[in-house]
Amino acid sequence: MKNWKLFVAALPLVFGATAHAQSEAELRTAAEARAEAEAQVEIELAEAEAMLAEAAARVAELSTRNLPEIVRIEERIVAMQGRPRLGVTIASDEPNKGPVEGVEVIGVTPGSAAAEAGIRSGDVLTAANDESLSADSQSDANTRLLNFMMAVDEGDKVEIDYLRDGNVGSVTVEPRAVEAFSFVLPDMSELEESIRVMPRIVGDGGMAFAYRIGTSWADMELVELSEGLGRYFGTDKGLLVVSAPKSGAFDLEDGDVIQSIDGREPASVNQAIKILGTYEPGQTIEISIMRDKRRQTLEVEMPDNRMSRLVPEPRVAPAAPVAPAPLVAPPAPKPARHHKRESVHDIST
Amino acid sequence: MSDGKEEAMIAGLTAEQHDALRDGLRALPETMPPRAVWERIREQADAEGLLAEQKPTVNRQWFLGAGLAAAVAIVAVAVPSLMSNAPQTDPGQVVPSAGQVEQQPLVTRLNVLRAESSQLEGELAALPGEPRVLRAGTAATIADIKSRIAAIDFQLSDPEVQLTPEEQEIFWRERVRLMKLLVSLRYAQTQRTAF
Repeated sequence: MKNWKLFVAALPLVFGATAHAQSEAELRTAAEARAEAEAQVEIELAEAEAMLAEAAARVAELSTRNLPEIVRIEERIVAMQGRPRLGVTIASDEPNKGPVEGVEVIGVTPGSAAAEAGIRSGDVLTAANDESLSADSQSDANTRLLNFMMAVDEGDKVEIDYLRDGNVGSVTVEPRAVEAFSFVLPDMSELEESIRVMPRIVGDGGMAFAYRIGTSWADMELVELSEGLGRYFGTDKGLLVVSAPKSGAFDLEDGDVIQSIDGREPASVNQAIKILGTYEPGQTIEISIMRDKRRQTLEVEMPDNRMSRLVPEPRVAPAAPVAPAPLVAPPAPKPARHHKRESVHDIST
Repeated sequence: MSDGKEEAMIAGLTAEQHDALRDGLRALPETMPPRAVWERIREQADAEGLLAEQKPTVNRQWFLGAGLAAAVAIVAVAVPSLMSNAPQTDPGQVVPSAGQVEQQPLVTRLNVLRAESSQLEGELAALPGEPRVLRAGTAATIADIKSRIAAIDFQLSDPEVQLTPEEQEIFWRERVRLMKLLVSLRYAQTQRTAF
């Protein structure tokens, strides 16, 4: 099964060589040497990418940990769920700035609708669906855009006119709904019905925003099956496992084609990763695959899934110190019978 | 930086802010090539005690160090070839270090951070699209970072939230940090060309 990988990797080398300069045997030797050298570089790049991703994930998690009011941000994101957004940060009002031509973009969220439509920081949005955004102040212009967006429903398309370096432009943007859980992934809407939503304990340590990725399967490499590859693997849909987890996680092998995960058919690699990220370690998963052109179902256990949060995990309060046991007074020496009798006698008198 | 790019980047500033930004930029050292982006991240993270927060187990520290070294190596390999295709990237771009930025007036610091953020957005947009073959760990980390940036943008653009300039600086600084991580990871992805 692994031959197909060598075959594909060697293709450009073989076709790129100049046949007239060398004999066929020399050509083959040179191509093999180059393929071997490139394969080694590829291995080292893969290792470097893995370490980079691990370090980046750690830095990212730490960097947002101390942002002011991070819990409230998460709460508002949850409250805004379902509301379509462009994905731009706009300049706030500046006193005495006077009339403006529109709303000034100072940040475009990567992966957002605005980013994919080509809106850039520095653009001035002058109209939305032909409604002018020019106003007497930046604040008024911003309010116009915000009011406009309040009336936009998910799935609506918005025609945005903008100014860039003095030139007028126009783009069509389809604002995306805010998702508390992975709210910038473009394909999450397709998963809404099927994905199990992670627990949300917003305001109580926060879990509305979290990613999971298992270290034992982070090295898995997937590619969407193309028509050509599909013929080779005997199916027209699914995700080809280019490199199975070296840990043996999920019992996958190189060349398997993932067709569904617990009945959910991931349309993209990102969706598959997202679906796998919803499982708790130890949970059982049924992965339907094609192996050697035959359908199989793997019943496997989620090995591990590290959670990356926006809001730090609530620290478990240390157990309250155990109150010292009340001092027990040593038993009083048993009074002599005649003393007791005297005492009773005293009280009653 | 070419005049055109500079104008595009600071087009939204007032004349006063423009002057303050220009003065601030002039006071900074000559250049810091984009390939040093991970060194900057490491230095900044070190200075702010972010990396130190890690429990000091020997293996983990080695891993982080190796990861960062590998990151620098990847970016060093990746950036020169990519720069030629990145219309909004200028290898001679003046980028202040964290310590140098600290000494600038707050308005200037904010503008520098916004300008850097804008430049990073340009670099990101100039990169080739997502590769077909995706490594699960990298793809998940990229999605994670994007969502964290989105959360910051959510706060920066929420009309009901009045951030002080100091708070704005915190959010913009973290946005820049996350953008650098994102650009670096995307650079790394482009180097994987098995298919």
